Amino acid sequence: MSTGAPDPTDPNPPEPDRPVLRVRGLAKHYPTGGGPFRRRGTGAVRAVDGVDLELHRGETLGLVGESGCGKSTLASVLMGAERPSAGTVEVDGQDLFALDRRQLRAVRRRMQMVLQDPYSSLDPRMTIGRIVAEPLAIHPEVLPRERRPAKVAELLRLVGLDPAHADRYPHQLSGGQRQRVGIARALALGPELLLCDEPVSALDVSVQAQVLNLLADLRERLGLACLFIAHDLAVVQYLCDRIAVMYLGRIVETGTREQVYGSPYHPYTRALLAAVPVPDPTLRGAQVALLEGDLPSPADPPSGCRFRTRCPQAQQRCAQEEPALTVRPGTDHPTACHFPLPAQVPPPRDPATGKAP
Amino acid sequence: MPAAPPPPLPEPPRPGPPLLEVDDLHVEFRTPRGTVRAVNGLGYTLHAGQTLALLGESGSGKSVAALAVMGLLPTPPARITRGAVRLHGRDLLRLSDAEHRKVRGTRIAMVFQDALSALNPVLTVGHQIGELFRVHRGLGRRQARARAVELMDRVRIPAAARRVDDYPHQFSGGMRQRVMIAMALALDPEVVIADEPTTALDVTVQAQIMRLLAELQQETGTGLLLITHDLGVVASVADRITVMYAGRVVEESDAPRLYAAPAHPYTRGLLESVPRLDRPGRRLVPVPGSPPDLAHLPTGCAFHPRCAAARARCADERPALLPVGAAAEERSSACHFTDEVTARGGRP
Amino acid sequence: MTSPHPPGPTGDLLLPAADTDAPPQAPPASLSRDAWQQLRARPVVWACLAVIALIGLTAAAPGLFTALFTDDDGRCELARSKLGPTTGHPFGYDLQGCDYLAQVVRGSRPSLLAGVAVTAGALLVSVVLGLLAGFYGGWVDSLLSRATEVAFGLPFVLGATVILVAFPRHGLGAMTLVLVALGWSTMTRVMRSQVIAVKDADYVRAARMTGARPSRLMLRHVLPNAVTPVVVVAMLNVGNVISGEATLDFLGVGLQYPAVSWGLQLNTAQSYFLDHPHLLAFPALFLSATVLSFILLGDAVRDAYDPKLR
Repeated sequence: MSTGAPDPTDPNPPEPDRPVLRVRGLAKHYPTGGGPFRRRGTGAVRAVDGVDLELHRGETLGLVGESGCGKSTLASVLMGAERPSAGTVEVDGQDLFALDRRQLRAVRRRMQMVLQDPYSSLDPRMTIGRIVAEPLAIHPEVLPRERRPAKVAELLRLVGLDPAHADRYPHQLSGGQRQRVGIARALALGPELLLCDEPVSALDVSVQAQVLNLLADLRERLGLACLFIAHDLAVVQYLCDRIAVMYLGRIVETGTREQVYGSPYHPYTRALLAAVPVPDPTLRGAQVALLEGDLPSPADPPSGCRFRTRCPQAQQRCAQEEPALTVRPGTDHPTACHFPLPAQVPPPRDPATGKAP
Repeated sequence: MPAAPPPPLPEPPRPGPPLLEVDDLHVEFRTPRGTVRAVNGLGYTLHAGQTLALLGESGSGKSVAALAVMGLLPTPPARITRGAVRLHGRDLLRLSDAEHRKVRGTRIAMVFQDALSALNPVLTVGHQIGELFRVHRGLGRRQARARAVELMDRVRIPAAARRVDDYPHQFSGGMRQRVMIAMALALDPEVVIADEPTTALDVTVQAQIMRLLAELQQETGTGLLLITHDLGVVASVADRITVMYAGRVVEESDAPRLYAAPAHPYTRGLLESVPRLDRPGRRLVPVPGSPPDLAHLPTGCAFHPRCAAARARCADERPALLPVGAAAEERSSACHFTDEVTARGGRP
Repeated sequence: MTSPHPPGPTGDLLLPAADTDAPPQAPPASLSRDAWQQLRARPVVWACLAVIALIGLTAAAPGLFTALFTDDDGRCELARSKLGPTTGHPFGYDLQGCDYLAQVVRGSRPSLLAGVAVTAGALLVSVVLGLLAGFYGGWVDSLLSRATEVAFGLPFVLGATVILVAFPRHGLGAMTLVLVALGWSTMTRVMRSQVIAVKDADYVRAARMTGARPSRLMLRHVLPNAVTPVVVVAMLNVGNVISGEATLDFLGVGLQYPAVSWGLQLNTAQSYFLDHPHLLAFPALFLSATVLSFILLGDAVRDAYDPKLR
């Protein structure tokens, strides 16, 4: 049995500013056994293909991208549900995939996940109380059995639910309430790192804001590090300090919220932001050029820059040379583009009316 | 935040003649757990060339109402207990099944959210589009195929002549939705009902599809009924908006006025609870509680348990949908205290 | 209808207003409780339960029925052989001149015992094998699936006939074992496919990522959520086993005289059916009613648990 105390044999003594989560060169390829894809080179779907991330205490990193960009695969590798094809995932300096089973269990106490679908993520045959208490039952060393009911009540109150709900079954709760239960379960072991995989996309509009504000408050109060995976750019902007934009298994742009939303340099980021419909009919008609076409197959990514097939600025060099994710002259945050767009911000909107002057 | 003077609002476009009128529609479902009242007196009017958005969350009855108009409700368990659906003044609910089937597809067409399950996986898309021409227009196989290619071209599917023989699973989500739109437009309907047409799609593809729908509507002059929960999508295309809650209309307005100054607390709550790219740093104000259980609707105003402005009267008396503002604005709201809501302005 | 909502748990929290409004069905209702609610409303369920209870009672206390409905004193007189129903002996007499009602009532015990014991045994085997095969996959699944397919290929009654003929001196216990050995494959296949569907559910993933061991995942999450359809199949299976056991008796390879069972009674009756139809009618009636009740009940339970119908 592992103990609750920090592992004395920790191979990496804590550095002063060690990130809670460090991902280096992470790749996850799924071999393909033939099929409809015309293949060139290796026969594998490169769902995630060389991703570096760092996440510090109390920080929220937003990972955005469209479906098929590899963000969900990345999440399941980070949670240790699948082994990566290459690269490392370090939690508090410990490599997740170099640990034995016992050590892995100990690390899992520090990282928890909130899943997307509040309807399928709770066992329909368990009461809310048992669902929230389950992490404590899996890690019995954390809390003696007789103190668990009180803890469950505390957790339910923490996420804004009536502790009397502990006797109910999931199907008796609304979607928003279920997602609160999912959050309470994730917080049961007092994690340092919370992975949220599209936690509000299955909820009704009027309920989304409840859960978003709850996550924001909890993060602040508990000092959690959050990796927030979502496709909704407005939601990510609301909640995240730093942003990483993914396209076809790679990160194409990363920076602080102000940097990425204020002056996106990568043509993909800019197109993504332009495509988000703003709830203001008076802005209609001020539309920008939209991206053409669909995401290429990750089994056969384009040569060079992966975005070049849909990029309005693509040139010869983009097909030949893969752009690295670095800070380029004239930019203030890393982009993976040979020809980052000039830092010309889309006309600033008047915050009061939301309209362009 | 200092209150900015309200911007001058554009006049709503002159509508054509009324095309589709839904009047006092009631739909309920008989289930073992009791009667679920999905639609409770819905009414709206769609004019030719107009885009009307039916805005609501899950359980608001917006999709059930659309199926009722299409005559696609499964009866039983569903029952239309009252109301009328008039197309050019003719009540569709009084038609026989065979007559209704004829109207469907030729005069009213529908685009569903899930294009993959709406298409038959074992037939080519060309066959499925062409089938409409063969069945309804009596065209031969070759002609029908040619028309299918033409339509696929019109919804901007690249290399239509080659892709006409592909199967649905060979298309991406966005392209499948284009196929659905092509099928909806095939027989030149007067009304197109689009039920959450972009909800399953990514933002960049969503933008393409919404733009396509708007362009096609300009070309053909059909009336478009857009059913959605997405305030952003509505803002980008709708002329008029009908907001639904618990199977009823709570607010009805032209788009710019609704967004600038919502007249119903629910509309206001929705607008304040969505994060917006153009207003970073604004704290969201959620609507408390959850959408109501349609088998046990609250008394009085169905929104009162979640409404910050609710008083005793709201629990006792159901507010009627009454005009608000100047008569020329053609807005209405179902709230006892509309004046207070509008006085506070639409923006926090 | 709904009362004003109770005040939310305010406490010292700066959290957004909690949505404390619960759906109005106040008492905690699980899926099985809902299913029971639905079953309770159907008369056919009550009819089936009544028949099964009655047959169960005859199996447990046959003396009660003989005492209540006949003047039978337990003696058999060849002089009364095959006589039809009379007052005091409503089912008439059998070949040996014994009271036929007493005989038919006593015949329910082996049928019911075989039906329940065989199904319970097969259910146990199939739940364990299906759980292991579905959950672990890989070579465990390949091995168990091949074995299941082989067993599935063996015909139930014919297979049992062959085996039982090879071992002529058997009792009900041996017969049960043979029938379990031939009858576990269908339920195992159902269980395996259910487990495969459930094991990738989000709630299982969530528990796995928290660090739950396989045993916990299987017993706490997968088993309870996968077992219902198998239990329903098992219920339907009871009827099949009862008719299978009767068939074996009838064919002369199951229970042997002097044991008493409906199958044996039908076997005897076949020679005298035209002249003495009551010999065939009464055991056939009991057998059919029992089999039908189990099958209808299984159907009703399946409907009640089918989420598509709610």
